[in-house]
Amino acid sequence: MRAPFAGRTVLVVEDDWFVREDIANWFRQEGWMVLEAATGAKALELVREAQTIDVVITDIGLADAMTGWDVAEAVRIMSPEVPVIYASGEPDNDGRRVSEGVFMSKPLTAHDLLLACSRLLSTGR
Amino acid sequence: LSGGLAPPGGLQITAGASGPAACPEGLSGERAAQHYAAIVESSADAILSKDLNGVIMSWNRGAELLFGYTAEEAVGKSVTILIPADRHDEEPKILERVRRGESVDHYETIRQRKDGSLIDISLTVSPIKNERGEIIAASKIARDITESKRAQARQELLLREMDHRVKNLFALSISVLSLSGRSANSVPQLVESAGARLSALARAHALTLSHGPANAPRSTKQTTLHSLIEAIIAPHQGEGESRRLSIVGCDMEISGPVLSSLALLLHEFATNSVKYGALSATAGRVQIHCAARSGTVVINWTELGGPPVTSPIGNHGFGEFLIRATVTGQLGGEISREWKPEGLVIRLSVPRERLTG
Repeated sequence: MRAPFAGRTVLVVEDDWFVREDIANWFRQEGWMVLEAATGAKALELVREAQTIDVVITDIGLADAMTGWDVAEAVRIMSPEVPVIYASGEPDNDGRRVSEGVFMSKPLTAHDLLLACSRLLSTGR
Repeated sequence: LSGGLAPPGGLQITAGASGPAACPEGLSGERAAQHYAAIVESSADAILSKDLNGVIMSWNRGAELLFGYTAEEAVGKSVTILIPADRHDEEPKILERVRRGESVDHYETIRQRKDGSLIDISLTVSPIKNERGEIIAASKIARDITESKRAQARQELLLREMDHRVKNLFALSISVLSLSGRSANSVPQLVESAGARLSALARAHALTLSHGPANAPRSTKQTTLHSLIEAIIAPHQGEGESRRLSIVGCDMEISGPVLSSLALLLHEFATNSVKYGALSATAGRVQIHCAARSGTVVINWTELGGPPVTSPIGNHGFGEFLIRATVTGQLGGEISREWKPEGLVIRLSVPRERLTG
């Protein structure tokens, strides 16, 4: 049976290769298209080039000077409606979350993120 | 005594509502007062008295050292000369408590020196009563806690960093377990491979904690390339003459972000050697040579004395995937492997800036 969100695109912004690879694997297995970035700059480049991004998952600390907070704000300028999930071991900073942004505290499994994305796309929250 | 330290007007020095302080044995009257005054004068804490309007009445040597005013400068002035503008509301509240006969114990606040600099202090304020038990003034003891505040801030910073690091390590562990599971053929194989990888990660991260004296707080420290290699190969290293792996060449500090990747990469080299290469034979040896040239760090892993090796065909396991993806992705480097008859030679080159941060 085809997975419910097969064909959707997720942007995974995570500087740790193992964590990013694990998340990407789970989503690909469920039929998602996965765009990967280790830095904020690469993430924004992918957003500019992509036809569609259905959901963004971003860590807070990244491999360049940008943070996940910066990435989400920049992505929302280009795609105002795209759902954003922050996944980080750093403390939540409510004040910097984009509207309807969801914060998930690490450690978590890639499956947790997959479920959260599915829920966001189904219900909007 | 400087600054009229002796209690004015024949005051009893009392501890709040607990009654007059006991006289030292064998002393009475003026000698007892001198005795107390000597204690006050020699104290490292700032000890002063003020009337119920907050006017300074006495000022010890500790107060001079802490606040920078001499007794002549301070006595007769309002105690608000010591209070930063944004905390002036504290004084009326303190005086109100004193008038009610209450003490203020170990109140942590900020005061201002004569030169305008701010100091963290712990403040104890107690009422002073006359012979009739009427509250007529207040004693104030201020202790400089700047250093303990700094130590507390350092500890909190370290705890936050450790909290962040522990969370990230657990996240990484979950990913390593998950990724290992994708290429394992059986549960025992998964347990063995994931367990060994997590063990390598634990050894790598143990290096980042410095071990000071037993009662000193641990802190983070930089890890060097040699110490990381040593930690990862430790399970396969013999003792003394039978040491099987040697590390030579230059050493350098390596940055936190690449620590996990490099540790897992070196672990894969060692594991493959134990399974198929030099470390699978009793007489097998590995030489690890580190060199830095033109902004690139080159690590040569040379195996000798093992069984004849040939290039693996169709190796698409996680270990192989990890090696390629880590080198090109996380480390931004290159890897070449040559399966010589005498043993495998791996040449790993990584931009120095990636390695050292």
